[in-house]
Amino acid sequence: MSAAALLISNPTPTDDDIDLGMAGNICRCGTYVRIREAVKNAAQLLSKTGE
Amino acid sequence: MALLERLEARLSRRALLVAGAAVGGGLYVGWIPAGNAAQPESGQSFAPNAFVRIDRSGKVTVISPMIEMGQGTYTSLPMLVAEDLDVEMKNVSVDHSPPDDKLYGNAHVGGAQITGNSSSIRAFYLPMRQAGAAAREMLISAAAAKLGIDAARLTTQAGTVIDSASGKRIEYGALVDDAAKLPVPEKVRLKDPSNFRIIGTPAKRLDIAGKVDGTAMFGIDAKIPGMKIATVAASPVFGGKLASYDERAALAVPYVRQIARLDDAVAVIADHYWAARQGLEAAKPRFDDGANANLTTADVVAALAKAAAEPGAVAKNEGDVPAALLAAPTKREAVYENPFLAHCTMEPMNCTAHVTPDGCEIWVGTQIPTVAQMAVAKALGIDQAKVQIHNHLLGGGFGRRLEFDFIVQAVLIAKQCEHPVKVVWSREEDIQHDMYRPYYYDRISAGLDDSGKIVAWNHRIVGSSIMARFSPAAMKDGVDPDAVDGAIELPYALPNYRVEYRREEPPGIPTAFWRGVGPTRNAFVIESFIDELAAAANKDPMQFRLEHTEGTPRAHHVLERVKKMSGWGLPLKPRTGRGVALLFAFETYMAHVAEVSVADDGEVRIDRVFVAVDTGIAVNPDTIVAQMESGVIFGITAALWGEITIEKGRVQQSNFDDYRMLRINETPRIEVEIVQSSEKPGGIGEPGTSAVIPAVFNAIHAATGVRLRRMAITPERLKV
Repeated sequence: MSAAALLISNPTPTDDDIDLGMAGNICRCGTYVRIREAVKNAAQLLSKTGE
Repeated sequence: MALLERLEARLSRRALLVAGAAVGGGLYVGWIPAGNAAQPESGQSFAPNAFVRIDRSGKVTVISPMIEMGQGTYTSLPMLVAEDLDVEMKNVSVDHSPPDDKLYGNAHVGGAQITGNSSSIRAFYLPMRQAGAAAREMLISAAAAKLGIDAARLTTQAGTVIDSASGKRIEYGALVDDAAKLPVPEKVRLKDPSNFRIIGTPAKRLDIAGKVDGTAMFGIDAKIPGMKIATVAASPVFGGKLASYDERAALAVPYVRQIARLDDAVAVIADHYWAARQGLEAAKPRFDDGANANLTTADVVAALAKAAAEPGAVAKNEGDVPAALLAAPTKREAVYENPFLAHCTMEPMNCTAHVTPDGCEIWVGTQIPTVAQMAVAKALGIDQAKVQIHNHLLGGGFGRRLEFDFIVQAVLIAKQCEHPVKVVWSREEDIQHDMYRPYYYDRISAGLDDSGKIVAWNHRIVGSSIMARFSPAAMKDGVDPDAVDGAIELPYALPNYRVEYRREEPPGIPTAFWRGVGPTRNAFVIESFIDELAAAANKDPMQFRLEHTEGTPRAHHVLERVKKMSGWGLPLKPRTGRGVALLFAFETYMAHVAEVSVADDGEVRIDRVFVAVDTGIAVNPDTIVAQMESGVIFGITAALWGEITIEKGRVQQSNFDDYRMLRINETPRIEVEIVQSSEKPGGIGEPGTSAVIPAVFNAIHAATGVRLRRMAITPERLKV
């Protein structure tokens, strides 16, 4: 949900934008490295499809 | 291959491959203990479907003996089957195993059905591959019979048997019923690694889709018709008893249905969690605190320090340590402390239970289905076979779900109701009623010769014995094998080497396994102390370790790799430092370098972490990288802020505001390199957390010159 909100307000986030935008979500299993990549991928996919 | 032959010989002494017709049609293949000619009995209404089921449509279901708590077992174990069965992962699904030690016991943990100790791959690498290979051979035999030709002519590809000579192809699904009638092959041939198509690849996780679209079922997601939700408050002081509560006020809260009373806790049962929570607040329970009412962390530490002054049970004694220490031109000694730590699985403790005159049905996420089954049977005074456990995905295990306290509690609450009850702990309850990684107090000393080589090593480890409670049979002559794990098989040349363990229990405080188990405490002590010795020898810490691992090539190699990866030795800004740590545990070698900056106010930031890991045969390299990343983040959290403190007999921390977790914007860049290896697979879930902690503390020393010997990091001591 945080990622969706981030991408709606900022469709081309930098790495720092992603980190700050997602800082409210805690992951105890430590998948942050992958969350960063996933949000970046989503941003790229969205820009391609123009949604 | 010599390695496989050794593993196979060991396996064949213990277990027997069996196969037969699956309920509803199809073929099943599985394992039963050797010497047991009877069909596997499972004590459940579940059919004997063992490990692998192939149905008439060719769909393969792997019933995983080990549970999934995010560490990737539900993908890696099916990968092992799929490789030797020769099917594509897209036709494979995975299912939870029911409680059954005989079918699903883990040889690495005494034969019980327990997921932990980084043993899933180590215990099941061979059995899963052999089950896949056996099924494949039976399917080929069935095809050969069907076609009236010699089986030697046939090959397989992606779930199909092929006769290249005639071009005939038969899908597995069309062969399963015939195959099920055949005898299981006595000896199965496994694929040569040069032909691997699945093992060693980053195969897509089978559990991801469900976890993204919300269909994945964790224990907390269980929805049983007629179920009510409860939340509970147990005595905040360990060992205290429930004294009183305001029943009327609780029942007056809308949607609250019932109050259940236990010895040490009160539960409010309602239509939904929020009502239960409000009901509990209205109940204002009061407790008789009992004997531990005034316990503080300082009390615990004082007792440990006192115990550490006395000799312990000897876990290792090579050479003559006292003499060598005496003679050594340079000596160092130190006291290191590991604090209490909480698990904080993101999914708080929960369990759904339904107790009826016929028995008990439980929905939960657990690392110990059979142990839980036994504990519930005992608590209710019924036969174990009358307890049904439905396992789920785990929203974090980390060792917390190796325990059954919250399961028995839920059952005792459900016993007071007709309907099923889902008991969910609040985050506060979860943190304050954890079973903690115990406080450990270590005295360590060593002697160096004139050339800076270690000539004597003396390590006394003091703390609670988890094993004495969890598995008393594992204790030997007063030594808890977990307490000394990671301390008695160091990959360093230590000519005189002594390790002792002294058991000292904190009054009333429950202790349990925490990710990394023994090695996670020992790595902090040992790898920090190695740096102290390097300084005493006037040697670079990396160089010091390289010199002491000349006899252990796999350890030496991961050090060389991480040295390269991290740019060790290149200049850094002021108050920035690199720290290294080496770990050999769970049959895996790893070396970490952490690069850390310390601000003028003492705040520590971990900028980059480099990991070189040699875990033998890498089944799913992406999972290994994920576990390293995960372990690093888990470990950094502990290093920076991990500390459970006790005041007036109760845990002071309660939620993520005062028990802080690393956030994404605090997470370093993490680089992982997996060493290519054909050695037997090692474990990966536990060790990743252990090595990063001392790497961080060593980096802090490099950055500031301050040697911290106690977790968590105290910024006040690092101020400019």
